[in-house]
Amino acid sequence: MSRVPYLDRLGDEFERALTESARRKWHAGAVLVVAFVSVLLAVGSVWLLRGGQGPDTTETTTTVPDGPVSIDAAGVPATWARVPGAGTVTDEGYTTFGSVAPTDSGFAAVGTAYSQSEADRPTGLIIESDDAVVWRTVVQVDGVILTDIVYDRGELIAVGMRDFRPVAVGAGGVVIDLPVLEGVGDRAIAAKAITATDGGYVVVGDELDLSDEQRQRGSIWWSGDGVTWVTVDSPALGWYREAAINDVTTDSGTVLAVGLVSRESGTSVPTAWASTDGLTWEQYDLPADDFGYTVASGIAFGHGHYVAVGSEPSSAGTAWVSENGLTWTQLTDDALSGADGAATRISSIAPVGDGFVAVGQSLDRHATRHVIWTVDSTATSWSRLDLTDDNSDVSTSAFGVAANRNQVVVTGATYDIGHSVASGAVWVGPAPDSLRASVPITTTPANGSDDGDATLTIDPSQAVGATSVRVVGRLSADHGMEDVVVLLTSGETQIGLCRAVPQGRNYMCRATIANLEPQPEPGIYEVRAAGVERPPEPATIEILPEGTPIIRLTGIDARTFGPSSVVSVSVQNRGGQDFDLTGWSIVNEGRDEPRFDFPAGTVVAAGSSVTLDFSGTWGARCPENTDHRFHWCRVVSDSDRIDYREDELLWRGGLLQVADASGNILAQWQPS
Amino acid sequence: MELLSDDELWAAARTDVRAFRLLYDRWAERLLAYFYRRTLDPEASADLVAETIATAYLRRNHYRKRDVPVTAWLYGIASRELGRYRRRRGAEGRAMRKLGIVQPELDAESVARIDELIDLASYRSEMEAAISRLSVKERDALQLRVLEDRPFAEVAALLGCSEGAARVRVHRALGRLADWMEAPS
Repeated sequence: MSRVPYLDRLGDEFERALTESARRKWHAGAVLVVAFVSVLLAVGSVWLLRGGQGPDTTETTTTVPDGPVSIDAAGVPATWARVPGAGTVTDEGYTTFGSVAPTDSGFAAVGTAYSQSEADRPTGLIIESDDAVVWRTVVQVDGVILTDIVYDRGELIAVGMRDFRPVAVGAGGVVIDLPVLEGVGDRAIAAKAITATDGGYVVVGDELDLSDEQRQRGSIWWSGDGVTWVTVDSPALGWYREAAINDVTTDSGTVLAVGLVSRESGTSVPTAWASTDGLTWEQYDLPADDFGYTVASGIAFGHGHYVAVGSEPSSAGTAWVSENGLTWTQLTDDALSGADGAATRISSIAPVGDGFVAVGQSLDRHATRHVIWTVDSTATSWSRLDLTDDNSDVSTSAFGVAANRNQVVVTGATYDIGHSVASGAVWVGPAPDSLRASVPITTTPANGSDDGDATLTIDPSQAVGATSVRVVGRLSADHGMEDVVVLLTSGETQIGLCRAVPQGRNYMCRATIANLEPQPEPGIYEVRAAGVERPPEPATIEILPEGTPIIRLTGIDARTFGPSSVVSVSVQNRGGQDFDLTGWSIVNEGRDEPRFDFPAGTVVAAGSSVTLDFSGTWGARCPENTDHRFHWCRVVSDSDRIDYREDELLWRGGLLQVADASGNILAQWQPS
Repeated sequence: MELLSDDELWAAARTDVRAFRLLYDRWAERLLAYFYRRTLDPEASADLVAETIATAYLRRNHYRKRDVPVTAWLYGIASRELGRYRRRRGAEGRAMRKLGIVQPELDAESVARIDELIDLASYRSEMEAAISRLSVKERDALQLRVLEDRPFAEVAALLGCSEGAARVRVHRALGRLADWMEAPS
């Protein structure tokens, strides 16, 4: 037996496939004859049973209940859920979002859309939102990549590059070429970040000498009005083998920028540049434990502290804090590093309420995952939140963060690994207590169950910004049961639709749509009629207690072999806490026996799965169960070989279902 | 049968599934460790083990004992599969499909055990050493493309080079890392 269970299963699978292959060769001729006769008999029988008519057809229908019904509910808190729709700015190509900034009315963010039909030609985007949920594109600039944005004195100014030259873009879409120093020839210059000071604006970036790729230097521009710009020519911006300025901030007195420069030894060190007027600058090193390639990526000022963030060559995130912008301390906090050594990079940080929020990403085995840190006001206590997408084949990265009024917004991108498509992404998080505001909620669901009371369950962590929920339709599902369509709205604005799927007699709204806030007490809320003549059919809405597992049953089919045509099914705990499956079972629809009962003490960790294998076949070995993998086998006595009788097959058609300890069906899956 | 050598078992495995299974049990862990050292990707390593063994079985009649021991011949196949994987960023799976192999799911326990097959701690330091040998531009390109999953156009923009140059940097960096990890200096 191998130390790696996967190898044992793979070995079993080879053994099975090769045995079957040999058997097929011997019996290929006979099988062909039998199959041919069977098809003839089957087709003839069906045709005769139908009286010579063709097969039945089933139509899929969509119906909408009569009028709205409503309930009163308190609402649920926003969590770091992705705003639906944001990012799908263009029908063609893909997008990424960069930084986000607070405005008088809400938020503004920059992004870039890349055209697939025009060789990834970029289009710079400025998007705005009043509520962080509904976003609109206000500027599209052809050929421009935008990376940062600031809102000051009623003006939006974004920065980026066009054809490897730095540009600033105003809210009207006017593109201003930032001046470059004399002697610029075959060079690439990028404007990366902007901040507003008392006397104007400062933009930072860097310059690459393409004719001699051994030289780089930081670049800084200053403007008093955002229209007329000058290039800073300072000894602090010398040429290095490598140099970059990544971000800039101000406390109204001092302007501070951060990045890195290389040393003669070949290493690169995190570096800060400081100025009091935006025109004269000084350069100095930030402390770093692990010299080699420590880079400072972002900086913010708040609560009397400058805080810079970045990453170390050991692939850990890192941060520095300073009260005066000159004397810095590198922070040590386990939350800065990734779990199990996962590579972590902190991209950006912003002051929020009584502290800071930083964002970045970590790399797990398959993809990047965006990470959010909440930081106290002294920047010495960090709390890390690793966020995952439901789809493990989608990478997520966070590049920007901003707070305004009662909301915190994170911008970034998702990347579909399988389809090589990136989409801009916006996540909205819970505001700190100091910023949280109470939002009145009217929740209006009605699912119109035909057979008595039903419950519509909405996972509180799945939605952002919705202030009302209403069931507006039904959809016939492939598995023969009806799904309901739930509309989520904020005031008069429609936020999105959620397809709520049946779970037993009740419904579960799984899609990431919207959250309600503030949080109501967990429980079941009755539906009450509102403005409809005909009383609604009975329905309730249940707010789940925090930590309730969202169970999902998935499976893998293989129709080519095996006693039951199913290779395996997995029960996934999509909730946020570990869950004990003791007493739970997997059953075939409509049958009590046989059933697979999870062994007592089977605990499925948050986000993890337990799997039941059907993959053993006659004559093969029955693998041993592990904590998270079980096998539907009957072992022949005095042998480790599997045997089955027909009535012992767990699945014999129809749905496979997961039942809780009380026998409630909570999830199901239809093998194809 | 357990006492037979690999070459003897391989001769028997051409017609005897039990002999094949014995050989499989001897090879599988070593192959998995071989691939994991070179990819640091448990999913890819699991795929490559399955495809390598399937390919070896399909090509079993091509093996000539007088040329090399069967184990060396097997690692020749493994090396070619690894090369294909690096070019395509994925295992091909063609041989498995030909044999009708339905690859089992790689569960979390197996992933954890794979780490135990090799001395990952020392390997990570090797990897870090190899990364430190890359040029700064190559490291930057790897960081932006591989770690941050940015599209090449954006990588190019941020690095201030053409998209083609960005692709070349990433490709070259991955290739050099692969070479160094094969024979670290």
